[in-house]
Amino acid sequence: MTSNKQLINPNLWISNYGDMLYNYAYSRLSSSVLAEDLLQDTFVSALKTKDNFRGDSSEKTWLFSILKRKIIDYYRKSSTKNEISESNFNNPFNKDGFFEGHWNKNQAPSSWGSHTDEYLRQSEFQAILEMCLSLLPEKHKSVFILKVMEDIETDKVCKDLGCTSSNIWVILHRAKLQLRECIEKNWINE
Amino acid sequence: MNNDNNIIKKLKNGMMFSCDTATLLITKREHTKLTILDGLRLQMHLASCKFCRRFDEQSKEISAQIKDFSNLKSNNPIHKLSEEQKNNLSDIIDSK
Repeated sequence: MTSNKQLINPNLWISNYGDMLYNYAYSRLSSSVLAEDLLQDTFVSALKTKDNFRGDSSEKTWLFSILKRKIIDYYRKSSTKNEISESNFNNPFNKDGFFEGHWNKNQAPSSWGSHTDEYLRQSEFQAILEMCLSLLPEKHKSVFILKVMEDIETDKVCKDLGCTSSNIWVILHRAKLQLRECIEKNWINE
Repeated sequence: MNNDNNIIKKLKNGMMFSCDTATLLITKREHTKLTILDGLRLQMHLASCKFCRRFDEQSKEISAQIKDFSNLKSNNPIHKLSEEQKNNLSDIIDSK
């Protein structure tokens, strides 16, 4: 029964998981200062509750689950402070006329080119994606990260971030439109 | 003439979505099931709209890349802790 239990060794946390946890936090927060803060909080919480660690999961999984909770908490707090302002959303659809609601000619999606060098393309794409993600308004970013990156249930995201089950799709939709346009603008088509 | 325009507009809105609505449903479809009617109308819209078909493809690519994001990086992290940050964190762990 006890033979499979995992042990905890706080002295090795930094060397074993430090970069992994930091990178995980950084890619979701787009800030080194915030990422370091949440890593500190994670270790403090982990040390406080380490006696309750039952060893059912690995030490790594356990630390990641604490960090994940810290990231959700962070977004919950920040997204209640920042309401979405309509003014800084550059709507790519026509506002009036016969083609109301259809793509504005200058902002309609262009082709993203062929997949010649898949690996190079992916690393370039990821770098642009990360940059564009950091430019999203806080509320859009928080919904997008929790829903698309973490794949958390819609009801739970809404409960945490204070949106409704219908406007969450509008927020996600706008986040996607902004990300898409940002990627396209920064994409170097060879 | 004005009357004709109104009829065309009504027909257009009744049968087909605008691109704004179509792209909203594309996003929604990634996470939840659409109603049968919405699904059919979206298919109809996509069949005739090149830009929304592109959006659909690009949207899928963005989601797939986002999911790869952390997995890809956890094996070979792009962002690493500096020595100073490591020392700070070690101090915190040691002090507890």
